[in-house]
Amino acid sequence: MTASANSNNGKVKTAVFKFTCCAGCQFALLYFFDQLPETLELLDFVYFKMARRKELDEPYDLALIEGGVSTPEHIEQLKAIRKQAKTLVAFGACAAHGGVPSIKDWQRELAVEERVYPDPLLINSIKVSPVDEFVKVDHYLRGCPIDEVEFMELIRSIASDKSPYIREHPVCVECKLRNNICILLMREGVQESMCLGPVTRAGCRAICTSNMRACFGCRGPMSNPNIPEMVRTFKAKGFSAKDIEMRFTEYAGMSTEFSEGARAYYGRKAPYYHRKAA
Amino acid sequence: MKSKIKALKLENLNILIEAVSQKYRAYGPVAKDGEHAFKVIDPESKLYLGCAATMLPAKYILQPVWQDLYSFKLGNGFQIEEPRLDEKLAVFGISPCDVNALLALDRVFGGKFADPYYWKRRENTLIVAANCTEVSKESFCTSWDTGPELYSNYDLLITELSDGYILEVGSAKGENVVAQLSLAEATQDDLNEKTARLDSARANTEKKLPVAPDNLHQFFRERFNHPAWVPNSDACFSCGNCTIVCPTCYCFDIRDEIMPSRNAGVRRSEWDSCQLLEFAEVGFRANFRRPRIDRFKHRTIHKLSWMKQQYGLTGCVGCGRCVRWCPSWPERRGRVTSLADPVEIIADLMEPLEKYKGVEIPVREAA
Amino acid sequence: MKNPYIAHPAIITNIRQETAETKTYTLEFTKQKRGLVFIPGQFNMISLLGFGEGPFSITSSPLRKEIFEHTIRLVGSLTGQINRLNVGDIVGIRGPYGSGWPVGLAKNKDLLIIAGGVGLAPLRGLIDMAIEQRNGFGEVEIMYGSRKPENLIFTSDYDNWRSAPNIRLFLTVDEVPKGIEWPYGQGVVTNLLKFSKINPANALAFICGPEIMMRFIVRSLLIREFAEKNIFVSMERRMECGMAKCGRCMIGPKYVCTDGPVFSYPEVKALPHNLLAASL
Repeated sequence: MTASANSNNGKVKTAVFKFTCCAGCQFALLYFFDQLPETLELLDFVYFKMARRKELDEPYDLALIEGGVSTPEHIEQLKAIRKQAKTLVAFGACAAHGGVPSIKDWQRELAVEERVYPDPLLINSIKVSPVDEFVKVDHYLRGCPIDEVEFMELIRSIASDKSPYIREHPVCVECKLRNNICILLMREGVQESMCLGPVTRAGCRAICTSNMRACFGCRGPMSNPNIPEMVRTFKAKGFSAKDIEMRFTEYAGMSTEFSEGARAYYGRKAPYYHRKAA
Repeated sequence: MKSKIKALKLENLNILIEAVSQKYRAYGPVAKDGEHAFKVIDPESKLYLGCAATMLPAKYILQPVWQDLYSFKLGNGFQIEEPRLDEKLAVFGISPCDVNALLALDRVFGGKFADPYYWKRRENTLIVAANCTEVSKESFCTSWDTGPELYSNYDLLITELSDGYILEVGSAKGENVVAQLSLAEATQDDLNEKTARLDSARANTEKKLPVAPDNLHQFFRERFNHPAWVPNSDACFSCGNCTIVCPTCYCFDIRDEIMPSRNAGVRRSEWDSCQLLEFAEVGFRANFRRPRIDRFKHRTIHKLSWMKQQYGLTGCVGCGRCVRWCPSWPERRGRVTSLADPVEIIADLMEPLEKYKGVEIPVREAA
Repeated sequence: MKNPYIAHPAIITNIRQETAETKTYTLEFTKQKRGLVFIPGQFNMISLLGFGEGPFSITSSPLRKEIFEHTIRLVGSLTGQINRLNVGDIVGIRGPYGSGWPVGLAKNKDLLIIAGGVGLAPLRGLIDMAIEQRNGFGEVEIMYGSRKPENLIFTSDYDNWRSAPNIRLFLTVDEVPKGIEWPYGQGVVTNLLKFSKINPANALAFICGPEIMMRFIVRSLLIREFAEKNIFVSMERRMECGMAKCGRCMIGPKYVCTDGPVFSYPEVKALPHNLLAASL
């Protein structure tokens, strides 16, 4: 019954590519070889720099794209990958939303380059964007780093040619289901209680909040987040405009919803906001 | 009639836990991160018998968050295997409101298509309820008469006294457990203390529904398009917290999972929430409850009025969990209150219409 | 206790392509010898083990019990998988669920059947029943609209319907692409009502289609002096269980899966949601 459309006796030919990121998600993938051997057995890696020294010479079914786009060359490479891949997955927070590198999008490009590089003229960098800014993305594996249960579900679904069951609900749901107390409602420990759980997409099994750490929104916005209310809640708890901006731009500031949160405090006078108007 | 109930004096709970855990897997409210949660307990556990003490209600023991409906083989033929559910469970310290919520769930999962998973667990479960000698400031169980005292539908019922507990026996199942304990009958003084404690709990309950339960149907009917819904739903995160902690919420999703071998799989149910956008979504991403206000109204009215029409029992038992765990605390009528609080929502709907001048009620589009 | 979640295997014995994205599947239980006893308008939950489950109307005549049919349009993940099935494949069936059309009430009455798009699916069993039991019902008028001629379903049945005594079929489409011959109406289904010769006093109206279409139809019917209680509509909602458990299909206090999917107009009107608000 399972119509396997994959080219290599049922195994999914997979290529892993890295753009602007810390490579932590690829590292997580290496770790999965130990943790999820049965699931990894479904994949046949034709290109995976970190794991084996084999250059890419054939087409593939699945492209896992790690990292955001930050140079013009990246855009060309990405478009070439899209042409080769049957299924393209944004692999991790940076590919899905720009991730940590995208914090720089909220500052002047030149100011950032001057701070980091001795000679900014040698640098050809553009703002950091999620991959779906340039190519069609079939599936997203969000999070910093990716979650193994979600990874497992995605790979098994791709191998069985069905759409994966990846829920769009907020972290609050998964947090409550684990019987955790609410960090956002905690009255003491002000900095700790800046939890983005009510607006952030889950799938992480509420790992941070289960360990009494506030959610920092690494998985980006949920299906329809109420950003104005989140900003109002933070304001009411006494957080400054800078705090709120930093919280929203830490991982997914390039998403329409979180950029709205980052701008909300300043209203229209939001500083250095580059992206298309929401 | 009350005198017929067998009332015993119990020195400490641990004797009872020990007796119960011999035959049952016992759950009870124990401390977790400064709050309380139902966990598997042993005679050494320290139970906390407070008012709706746990964040997740007892329903999650009877209707687990994730539940395997059946496993199946893929490929040739059509083979289904049902799970065996014959574990005997006992739940300690269920508040009267939660027992009343279970009665509502009994009707949801009963009827023409009785849910065998729920019922097998339900029938295998020993209910050791506990009366509330104190009612929390979020609770309004007295308005529904779902607490602080439980009158029936328990196997065993505990009431805390100054020097021990009264243990009342409500069923043969409960009788079997206490038979081996050789407990003394409670004295009239003990019974008087119980009555006094519960009466004082009742008297100290400040929170009240501003509308009589019988009139709620009419109340919401008249106010379905009230402008007060707009500012209320604007402050809602649609995060689903209120539905997950609610002891009468029952909605779930069903999905299939294929094993890595690709020749077998399981069909699972998983709790879901009407507050989430994708809950009512159909093909082509069409959605029958897209606006936040529709979802907000659905939870509020379903709990307070529609569930009574569907099942004859209230969908809100006044436990106050949604009040406590809603992350949104807007300012309403000069006070900062929990958004999910049914009492506050009703109070908002009772405000004069002039107060909401300029509030635009969104026009519903046909799906 | 019988487990109502368990699906029963049924084999696909025939597949008929209706439109580019819609097919009709003929099914037969492999174990259950009794067949499927149902009322037209009811639905089954169809399972593909490993891929999920969904509600689909039964589109065949209830008088043929040993086999039954489902007409399924490709819209999402599950229907995409169903679309790939071949004759001989096994699916899981549980049902029938829901209220169905009020066949008892319709005895000896005239029937006005109005459908849009795939909304004709839950009505086909009723039409077939009215043809097979011609003496049991009065006149039947079928008014069916679709977006384009190529989107019409059950086209192979039309001749059979037309040739039955006292049955009239009216068709309309929103647009006719260039180069296609189309001798029937053009415009919305409501336009077809002017051809109706049925006396509303002795007739029932059965409607299924998009909610916006049903809203206009109900309005036109009320103008034509159809009594509210004689108008029946079939509603659509997302369902996971079909048994009033999963809570998805609720409209106010009504479960579409068990109280519906067929509702009388007064039932829908009593809901506070203003769904088919037919303000005149």
